[in-house]
Amino acid sequence: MINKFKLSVVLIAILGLLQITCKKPNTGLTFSIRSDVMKYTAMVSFVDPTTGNAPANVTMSITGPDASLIYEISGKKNFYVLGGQIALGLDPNNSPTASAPKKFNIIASAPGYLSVNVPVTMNESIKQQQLTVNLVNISNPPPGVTIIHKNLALVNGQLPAAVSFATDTTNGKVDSMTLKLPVGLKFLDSSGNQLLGSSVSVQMVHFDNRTQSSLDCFPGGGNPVSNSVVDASGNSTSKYFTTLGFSDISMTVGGNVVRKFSDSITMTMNINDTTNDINTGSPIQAGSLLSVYSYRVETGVWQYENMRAVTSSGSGLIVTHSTNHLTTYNFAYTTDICPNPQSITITYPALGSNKVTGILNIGVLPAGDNGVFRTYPSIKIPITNQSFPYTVSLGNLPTGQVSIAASLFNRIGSNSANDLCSTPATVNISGGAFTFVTASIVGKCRYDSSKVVSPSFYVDYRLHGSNAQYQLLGFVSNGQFSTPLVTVGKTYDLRATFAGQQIDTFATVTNTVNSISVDMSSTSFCQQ
Amino acid sequence: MKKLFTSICIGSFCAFIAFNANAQNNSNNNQTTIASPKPGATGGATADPSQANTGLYNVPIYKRPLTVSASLGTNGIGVSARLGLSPHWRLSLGYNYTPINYTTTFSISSLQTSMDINIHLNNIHLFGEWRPFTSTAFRLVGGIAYFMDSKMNINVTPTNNYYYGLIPLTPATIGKLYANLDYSGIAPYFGFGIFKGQPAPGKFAVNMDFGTYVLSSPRSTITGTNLFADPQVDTKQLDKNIAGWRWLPIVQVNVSYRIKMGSSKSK
Repeated sequence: MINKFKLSVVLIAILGLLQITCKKPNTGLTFSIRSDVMKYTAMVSFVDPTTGNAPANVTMSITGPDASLIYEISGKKNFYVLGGQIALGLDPNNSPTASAPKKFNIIASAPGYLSVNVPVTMNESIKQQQLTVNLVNISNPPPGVTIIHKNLALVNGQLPAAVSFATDTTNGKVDSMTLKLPVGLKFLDSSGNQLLGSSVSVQMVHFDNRTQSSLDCFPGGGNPVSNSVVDASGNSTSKYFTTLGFSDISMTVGGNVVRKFSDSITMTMNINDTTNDINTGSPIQAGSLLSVYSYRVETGVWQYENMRAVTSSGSGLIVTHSTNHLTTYNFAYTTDICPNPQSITITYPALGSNKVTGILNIGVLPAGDNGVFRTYPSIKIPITNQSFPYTVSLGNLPTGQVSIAASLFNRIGSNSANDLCSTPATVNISGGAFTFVTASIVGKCRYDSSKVVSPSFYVDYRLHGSNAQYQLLGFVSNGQFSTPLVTVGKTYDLRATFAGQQIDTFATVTNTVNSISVDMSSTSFCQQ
Repeated sequence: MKKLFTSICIGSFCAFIAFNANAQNNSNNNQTTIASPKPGATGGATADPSQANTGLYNVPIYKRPLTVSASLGTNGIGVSARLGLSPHWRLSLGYNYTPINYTTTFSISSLQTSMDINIHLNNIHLFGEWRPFTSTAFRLVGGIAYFMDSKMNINVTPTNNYYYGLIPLTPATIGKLYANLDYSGIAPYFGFGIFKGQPAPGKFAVNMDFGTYVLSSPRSTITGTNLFADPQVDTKQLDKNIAGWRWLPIVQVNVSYRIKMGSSKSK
């Protein structure tokens, strides 16, 4: 009997060993991967500066030295502009370095608008950037911009008489551009062949330097700095332009584009006499020398043409330039660019230790540029889960003494008299404490509960029910977001750009701390 | 005898010790009924009447049969010392080290990966062995072990490009995923052994053990680099899922040597 009992104990023990069962490790398990595959991105918004709305049917392409590395944010080469926006990203296998930033150009156009060529640089220290590209409506230009159209009869392909015409000075516009065409002028294509037709169609656009909307249309996306400049010695270099005004002149004969002339044409531009001569720091006056640069949208290159002296006339200060080819012309002071710019540190005591998401604007002006009629030309940096002080290294800074301004969450700080080529600078943004609203966002797939993503995306916002243009709220990284720009109790329209799609929704902010679950079943993330 | 066993009682092992005392009594009661030795008897299930020689155990503890063993098995390499307490009971104290490195493949969606599994287990253990049938070398084994710095590290490395849209993401760009399971802690053991565990003095014997440790529930941590950085894994669910991954099955071969202190053969 006792042996049977012992045998039972043994058998039970052995059977116990066979009862080893394990659950699959992934049962009910959610695993969130990073969705910010592209570390360097740019949110590009196309805007009609007259209305603030996005132009219809914007088309764009990417050119430039690193164009092959640029993708739409979903990783594809379909550069479709949706609602006036597109998010671009850099091939994550080819990140920029301090010595080798990545450069490309955005060529954009829309029916009834002037085409633009916007150079973009992705620096090592700035992973996200916001670009606003202003497109000028030819029929309804913004303040500070005037357009004149002329249709001139030709005889045997030549002008039968000298012609002179100027842009308007109506609607508060002070400065204008005058174009003079000599008698017998022949119109040539880029190869020097005469274009024959019964008439020549002329379009001349003048941009003054008195209005921000005009300066925002400066060739290259409103950025006064260009890295594609051919100087007086024929060398490729970078320049900071303090423009006194610029023009875009185009002509066609029989539908063919005019590039050259058989004789010189003359353009005369009125000068804003309250602009400082950056060499003296005093208002410009007769005798001041301006550089004339030409520019073609197709290449995005500024070409040095000549130096011209400002003169006095009955209508004030003017500058005159003669040329035998057509393009955009810019009358400007130029400043060299720092070869090794120093860092800028932004302090913001009101943020405390909060890690915030928003759009940081940093602008730098040469000290002699009084900037009376405009805001600082700035770079817009979407900062994400960033604590302050925040130090950033900007490229393309002008040499010499500069003024620096920084703004975030509708507050501005500034600092003057810095030489950023040799000395780091600090800008303090002061003000009282904020109330922050934070959100933790998780995207889920309806048909695959194991797939979870903490999404990274650009998000625009506006008050729900308003017709205001969406404003970029920031770049949400890995689903984490904290901002003082929204208020508890209010409802907002939200527009997220994720994986090449725009998702519109609206939400009421009910708490300062929020957990949000988003159904992403329709996105490529869930469908992969 | 009973007093000694009680004094070394540790945790759940007490039950075995208490039973041991009874078994010892039973054995003593039955010792006159055990048959005489059979010529040519060996280990395993073969009877060995020398078990009835309780004279081996009627001596001070330090003179009782002492065997040292080296082992190799699924729990790595180890050494142990086994002390015969009675014809039915033995006590062993040992150390095992398990170094396992294993590479396999694993796929996440269309991403192929190489998964390096690195297991390091260290334990010291105290086992009791009960021989229910004095006529055979079969024994039931139970006890407890303490696993020190015992971890399973799993490194997941992509081996092919993963396409994000049209962009081929290289393994270097994708990054690596590291999972770590910590098994350190106290672990009960139960199993059985066969073949002669206690050879004659000055002799060697080979025997085997089969059983399992019941490890502490593993605690997981997961980290990563690049695209795997800051993986937000529901580690509570993962810990729950792998809670059953506590069984460490043991198949082990032991080579034992009986130190010359006693004078009789036993199993």
